[in-house]
Amino acid sequence: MSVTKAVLCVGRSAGPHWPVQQRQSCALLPLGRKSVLQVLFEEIVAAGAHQICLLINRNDQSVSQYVKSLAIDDHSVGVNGQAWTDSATDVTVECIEYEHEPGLLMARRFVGNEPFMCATTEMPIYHRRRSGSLLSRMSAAFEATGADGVLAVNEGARSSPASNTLIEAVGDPGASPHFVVADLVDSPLSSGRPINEVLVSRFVLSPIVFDYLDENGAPSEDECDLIAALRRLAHDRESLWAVRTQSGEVPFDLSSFLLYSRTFIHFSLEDPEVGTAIREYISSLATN
Amino acid sequence: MMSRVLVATDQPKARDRLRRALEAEDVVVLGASTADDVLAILDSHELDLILIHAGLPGLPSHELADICSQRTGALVLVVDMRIAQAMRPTETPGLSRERQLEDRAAAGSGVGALRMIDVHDDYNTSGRMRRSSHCLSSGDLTLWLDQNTVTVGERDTPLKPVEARILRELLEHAPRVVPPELLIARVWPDGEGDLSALATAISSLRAALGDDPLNPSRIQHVERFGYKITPQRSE
Repeated sequence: MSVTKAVLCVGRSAGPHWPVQQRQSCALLPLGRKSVLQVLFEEIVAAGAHQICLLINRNDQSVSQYVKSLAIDDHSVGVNGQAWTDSATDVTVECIEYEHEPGLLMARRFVGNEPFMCATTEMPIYHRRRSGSLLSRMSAAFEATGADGVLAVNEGARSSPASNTLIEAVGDPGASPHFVVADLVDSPLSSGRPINEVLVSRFVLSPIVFDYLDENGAPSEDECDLIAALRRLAHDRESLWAVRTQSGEVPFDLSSFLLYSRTFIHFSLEDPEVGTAIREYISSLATN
Repeated sequence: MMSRVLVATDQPKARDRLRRALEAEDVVVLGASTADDVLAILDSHELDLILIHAGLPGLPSHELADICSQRTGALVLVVDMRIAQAMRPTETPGLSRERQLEDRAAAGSGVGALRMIDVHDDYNTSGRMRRSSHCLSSGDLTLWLDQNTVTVGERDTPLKPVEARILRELLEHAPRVVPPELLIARVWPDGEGDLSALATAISSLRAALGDDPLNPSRIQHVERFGYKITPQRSE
């Protein structure tokens, strides 16, 4: 079954150290010429999603206002209540509001009995190539293996994404582009286990994950519950796979102003029109 | 005669708990994790009750229930078999993962215990008496766990321990793909296995199952990912 649904968890509002008002979502921060949210939209639509559910903060109207006027691949999006469809791309968007933190259980009705992609706005990924994205490979792995879920991992030494979860493989997968997950481990490690794969917030999941989220009792709004649910899923069924990022796929971290600034500069440098000029400007700053 | 109940669910914890509870009442319990497995078992067993998990892979539950009702005299129920929090043991800080899994298995939670089709029966699929009480099954294939013997249709074939272990892993994970590194880690826990040894063992296992080596249909290689077992039905 191909994966055509996606759930986007729009992160919490900005703190006082951000270049936006405190109650405004970080999802609207610019990355070059686009917003974080638009970059994410384009990523999941390119991977095949055409039914998208946004988990947005009830107190932050800026996101819903923005989404209503958002262009997906240069096509405008019409408004139809809480769900609206772009007739050109056939992409349907639905919003679910949350009070404090986005919890995946809120999207259970939207997901139904189908597999779905899941991502958060707090970890944008730069893709040097437009085709064959990380999420596309994850969906392909999901379909080929019949897995309960597929998550993305990045070699820890290469960057510092906004994740403190390490992924342990079953056996020795060597340099294989994918492997079965044995465990999800909090970082830093208390033991000396040599784990070098860091979780990247991209997932392709079967609805069985809701059963594991549901084991916590009342619906939770804590994103950490997803990690705990995936950990139990991996232990129980040994069918949670990980797909490694490739060269040209760079996960970024928006958890501080410094890290956000790096992300903005990276996306700006890759801008097809002004990237070269910005690169020259930064070089001139370095030499002066 | 003891009652026979088929528990059809892809929720391993639910299946294990139901099996334990029913067996405590001297009920013979058969298990299935897909609609195909259910249909295969209908052909080979007389049943008194069929419990189908709503959401069982393969067919819509109500369609499967209709088929079961038409082909058997058993009572057929479609139920939600998801396990609630009260049935899940909590993790214990400070204990190793392995120790916690052992504890959970000992507590009967299903974690670390049987995860796949668990048929507790005195008869094999051809109706002959069996001394063994535990097996894994998929379609017309049954692996007898304590005898390292596989029954395909009506033919019994002894397996080498390595072959039996590979088949067990494939059955326990069916219909999902099992990567080579997991098979190697499980079959050769001493670290002596490798891809070459695995390929050789898979080849001999296919031969034992009567699978065409040039065009295998039972143990399929999913390129770049691993192996999976596909249920077959006897001609």
